[in-house]
Amino acid sequence: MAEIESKKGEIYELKAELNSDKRERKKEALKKVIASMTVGKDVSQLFPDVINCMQIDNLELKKLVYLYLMNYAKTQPEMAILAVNTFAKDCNDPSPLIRALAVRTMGCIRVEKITEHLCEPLRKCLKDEDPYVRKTAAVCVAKLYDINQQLVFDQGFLDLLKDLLSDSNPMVVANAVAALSEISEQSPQIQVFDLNGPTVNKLLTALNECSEWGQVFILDTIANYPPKDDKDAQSICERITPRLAHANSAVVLSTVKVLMKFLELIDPNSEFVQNLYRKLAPPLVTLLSTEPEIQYVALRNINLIVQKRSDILKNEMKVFFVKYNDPIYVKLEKLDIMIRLTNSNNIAQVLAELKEYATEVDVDFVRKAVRAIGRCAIKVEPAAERCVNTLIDLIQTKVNYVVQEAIVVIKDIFRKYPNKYESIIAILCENLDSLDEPEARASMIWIVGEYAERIDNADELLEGFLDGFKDENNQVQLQLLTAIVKLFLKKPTETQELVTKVLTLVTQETDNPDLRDRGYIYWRLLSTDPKAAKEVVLAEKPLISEETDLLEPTLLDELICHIGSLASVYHKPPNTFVEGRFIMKKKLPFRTGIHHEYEDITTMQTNQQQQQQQVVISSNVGSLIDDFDILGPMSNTSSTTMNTFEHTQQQTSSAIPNLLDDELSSILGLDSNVGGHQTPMMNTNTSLPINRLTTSTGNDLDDLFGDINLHTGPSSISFSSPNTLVLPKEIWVSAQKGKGLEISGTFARRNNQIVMEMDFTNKALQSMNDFALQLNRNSFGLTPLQPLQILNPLFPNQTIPIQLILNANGPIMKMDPLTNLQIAIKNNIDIFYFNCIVPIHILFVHNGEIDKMTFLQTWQDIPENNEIKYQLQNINNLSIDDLQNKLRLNNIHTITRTIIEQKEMLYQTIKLTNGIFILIELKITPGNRTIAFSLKTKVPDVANLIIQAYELILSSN
Amino acid sequence: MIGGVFIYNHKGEVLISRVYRDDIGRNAVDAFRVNVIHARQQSRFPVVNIARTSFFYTKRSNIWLCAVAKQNINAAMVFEFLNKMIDIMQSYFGKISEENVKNNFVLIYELLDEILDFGYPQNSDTGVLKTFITQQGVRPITREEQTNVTSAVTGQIGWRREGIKYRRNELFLDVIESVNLLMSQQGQVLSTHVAGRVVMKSYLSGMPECKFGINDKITVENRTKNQLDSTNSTNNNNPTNSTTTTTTTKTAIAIDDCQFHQCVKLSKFESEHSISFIPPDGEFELMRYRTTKDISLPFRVIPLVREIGRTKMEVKVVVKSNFKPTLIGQKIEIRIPTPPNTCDVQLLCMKGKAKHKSSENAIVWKMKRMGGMKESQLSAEIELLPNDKKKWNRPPISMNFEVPFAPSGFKVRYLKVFEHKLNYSDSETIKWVRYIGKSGLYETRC
Repeated sequence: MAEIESKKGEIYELKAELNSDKRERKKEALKKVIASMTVGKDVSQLFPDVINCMQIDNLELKKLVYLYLMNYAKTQPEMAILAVNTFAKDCNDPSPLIRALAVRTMGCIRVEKITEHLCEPLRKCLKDEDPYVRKTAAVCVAKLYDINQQLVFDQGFLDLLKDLLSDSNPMVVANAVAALSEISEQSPQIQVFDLNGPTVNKLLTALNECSEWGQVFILDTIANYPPKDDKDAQSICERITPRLAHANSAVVLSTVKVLMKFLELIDPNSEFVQNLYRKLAPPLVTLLSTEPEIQYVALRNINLIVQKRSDILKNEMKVFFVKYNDPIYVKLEKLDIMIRLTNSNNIAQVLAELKEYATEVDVDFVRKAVRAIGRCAIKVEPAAERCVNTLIDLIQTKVNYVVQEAIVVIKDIFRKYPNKYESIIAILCENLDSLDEPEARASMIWIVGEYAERIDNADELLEGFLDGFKDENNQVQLQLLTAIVKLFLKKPTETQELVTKVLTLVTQETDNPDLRDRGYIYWRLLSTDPKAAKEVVLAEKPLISEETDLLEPTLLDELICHIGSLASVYHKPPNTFVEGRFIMKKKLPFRTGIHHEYEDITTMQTNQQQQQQQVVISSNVGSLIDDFDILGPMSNTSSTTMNTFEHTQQQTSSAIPNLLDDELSSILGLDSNVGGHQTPMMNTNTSLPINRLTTSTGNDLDDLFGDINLHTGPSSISFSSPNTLVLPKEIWVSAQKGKGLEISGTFARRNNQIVMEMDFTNKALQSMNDFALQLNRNSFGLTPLQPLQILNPLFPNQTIPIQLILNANGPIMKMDPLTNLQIAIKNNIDIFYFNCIVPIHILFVHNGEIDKMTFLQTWQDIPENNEIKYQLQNINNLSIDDLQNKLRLNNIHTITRTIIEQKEMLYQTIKLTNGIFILIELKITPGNRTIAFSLKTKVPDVANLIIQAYELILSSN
Repeated sequence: MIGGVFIYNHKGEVLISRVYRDDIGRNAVDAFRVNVIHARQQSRFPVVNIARTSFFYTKRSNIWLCAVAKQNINAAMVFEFLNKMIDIMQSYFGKISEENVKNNFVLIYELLDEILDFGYPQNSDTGVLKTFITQQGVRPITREEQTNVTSAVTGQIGWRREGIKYRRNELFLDVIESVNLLMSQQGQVLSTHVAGRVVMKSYLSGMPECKFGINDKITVENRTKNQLDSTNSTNNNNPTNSTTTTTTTKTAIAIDDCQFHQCVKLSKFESEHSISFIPPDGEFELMRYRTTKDISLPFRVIPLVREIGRTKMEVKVVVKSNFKPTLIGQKIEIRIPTPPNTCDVQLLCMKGKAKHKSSENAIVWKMKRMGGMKESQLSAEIELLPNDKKKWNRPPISMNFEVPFAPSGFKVRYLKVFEHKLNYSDSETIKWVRYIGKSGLYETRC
């Protein structure tokens, strides 16, 4: 009670003081009000008293009142109106400082009624004689746009703002650019700001004269300008390069952004590019002697630049050496870049450094350093031995987490260089007891199993692990099972007891289905065909990749367009952390065949079309990511320290669903249960088909259980033959592009359903899971009938066939070519985007037959100039009956067949999934392989595709 | 753009809160306090994203400065701005402390209103700001002065106002270099660079145009017949300092990279390699540069550490000065880290004073001065408490010093002043040049 009263008393006192006659007392009271406001106390009751103080002609007092007003106007709109007159008066004040202050403050008061009164003063101020007022008014237009877009259009403020781009004062130009950029970013659908050559020229002129911040605004805007050609790009680059010597790091980074973007357009072998590379390195290095926070921003960006154009900094390894007093975030980033720049020339230095780091205090940093040593061994072959020796030295320090980390990387080194460093196994074995992290334990067990024949007491070691089997982590249990089976295959006589023990244990006493099933499979394998078991369990292992943690190329390109900004710091596209109705995707410019003058216009056009397609793809990228985020953070078993940051990122961003246009979210809706599905209980008792097991090449690190996936996909497809023509599978995503995931696929029509048939092959080291698939909108509205279901992880070297039924009632967007389909596939590693072509005959439906009369009628209805003629080749010299049958199988229906002038006439129809009819006339001269083909349809776009389909079907066997 | 700026004390209480954008709610102030200041685990990154709001922060003594944004804004700019804001506040009221912030909160709000508009940084030059935002507040400004102010704030020369007059036209140039070194135990230089700054104090009338010449390799090679200039610059050396004698054998140095104050015409530097500018009034940093080649390292530290059993260590450190015998190094301090389980230290040094500071886990050896080409030694016997815990990782030995020359070999060749309207010439201007070499991170691993 007392507290409330004292509060009341305080307010009462302030009220009295505000209404005092003495200016000093008023001022002191106002200061107290602002102080209370700052700490979050509610002083809105004083509104009328504060407003009264506005009348006084004192700049300092006025500023305090305005500060109050900006804070509370929204809560007391009625009262705020009282201030309007003062604002209007102030906008005509002889002092430019007062005029600017008024216009600046008015824009911050988000009360509609006040906004109405803002227009006239603002219009005046935009044309004010004083540049200080004009530059403030320019920003005010952006403020107004944020409150009421329509008003800005209606009042013509945009044009006034554009006029300011030609202002004589550079600061006015800079603020006008900033305001226009913001407006156009908010409303990308409206062409607010025509960034053309002359405008850019004006901006470049202003660039030399305006303040450091103005330079940043201008450079960030120029980054969005698409240069006409390479010469244009080059001349802009030349004009902005001097900015690299600016003391403000934001100016430097924004310059780097423009250069990195425009470099895409310039011939990489030209002298100009080489020169620019030389000029880029020093300022980037200099950024490392700034304040640590700026260093961090710089390092995150350098990380991107090194991935995109590694040549720029290839000779600067030393500057990334970690200093003892660097903050941890700087250290971790430097280490990351060091590994990327390592090569055989500098490996000696790098290794010496890494060894030094491995003795530091910060656990995350030390772990990363140890891991880095392992990466070096894998990346630089000649240095592998030195790296291994260094790791051994580190293991000898007996520092627990160092030892564990070292063992994990040594496992990878063994993978890369088999039969080379086995001599160190003895040393590793000494540390068995100190391993308490699952990853390290699993790695150690793998090593023991893999080299069981050379370790005399391998059985004892593994038996030791077996004692506490039930308490082990799942990963370790699986590994132990496999290792013991390997041991048994290598030394069958001594270890029969052990293998029986482990198999009994996993099949009878464990609840984990993965483990149990793997146990059953091994058991069965061993008891039926030991030779096959050997082939499976001891199969040769695939190679492991040299580079890790690389960003996916399209993401990298997008991030390059965001150099200096938050996106480049988070390494995430903006829409994953920014709320927004619509966020424009940025992409690197595309270098067309400018240098090949002989290229004709058509290729130029296709290039442009390709560019447009890229836009479409990228506009979906973000939504995918977002949507997956909602499913929860992606599990990543080998998450390094950086990932903890990324995870929090994901979690925070997943809290708010993304607001995208409806059509998209409807597509996305299909995926919504991918994360949450249940693994169905498998029948694990007896009848596992043994022959199936040999289809897997087998793998040591992980299990065989995944093979059962053959049955688990969307399994309701029955195979009926004969069927429509199915093209052989082609590779859609290479293992290189898919970070180890190879996808090959084709389309088929089975039981009158469109089926996408794919093979997923894991050519990476780690298992993959959390698969999801999404199709972009396409010409025929193809969407999956049910989400992609891959219940178990895809283990290394394993292939699973996927069949996905598509239906054709999804959202439609015209593609080019029409049958183009854009697919996004996500797994725990990344998201991959690719295009493929749906053969059009897959889209022919079975009920496309029409009667003779309708055919005739339709044929005549379609105008003559829609008729397309072509000469088909009957390559296989099919008889007319065969031909007719073959086409029939592919849903090309023959309506009638007659003979006119000794020529066989076939009249045929096709109906597409979207209901379009195509009418065809075939004229076959006996003895002649050439068939005269003519086609009529209301939608002539498909004609060429139909011809292709005919050729394909006729040439097939 | 920047949505808001907050200042907190070390307890997380808000001292200043200025919101520029509607998308930043009051809860943002609390979100930062809860998730960063009061977080159980110290945040490991200077940018954090909490509920789709990004917080950029930095700490000065006990004060947290934080900028908030909801958009994908230019992160480098935000940090540059925060640093600039700190500079401005410091130049207005000195150290950034809770007390100073509290006492000047009205001023800070006024500054924040001026230097950020709708989250866009505006002119933030202290000199110009001081002409119209004053702590006295009620400074009556005449109409004419007001237009001067606005043209200064927005003008092409935003850093200088018109109508400055001095009876004596004078300028001071300080070349301040910090030498950074990382040396291995074996005395191998792992990395070294000099970060140099040229700080100018100008007390010049009118709108003087200055031209600045240095012994940069490229400019020196470009030079054809400007022999006169070099003699000019030697005359201008500060007589109280003995720098004139430190003419090194090399004439030109290779500058890896340099950056200039915004007053320098960058396009002219790019095309003609000349540094010309109209300086702000008073003190400012004209240029920053970095060199990595041919650095003369003023000191060398040779450590010798022996661990005798588990409870005893012997440390011997030799310091050698490596510059002309006529010069004197000052404020020399060598820090030798000791393990945390140190219980007793016996010290013996030939020169200066050495002390074991157990709170800092280091032996601090100080020498007021040391001549060139000298050598000094310290030996220490360290007794340790038996300790089973993890091995002590030896942090590097670090060193601080000040020497009266530029270790990079940087030289000012000339600084010419032209003022066309007022009647003073270049030769009437009094110029002073001083070179200071300081230690940056000067470390030797042991």
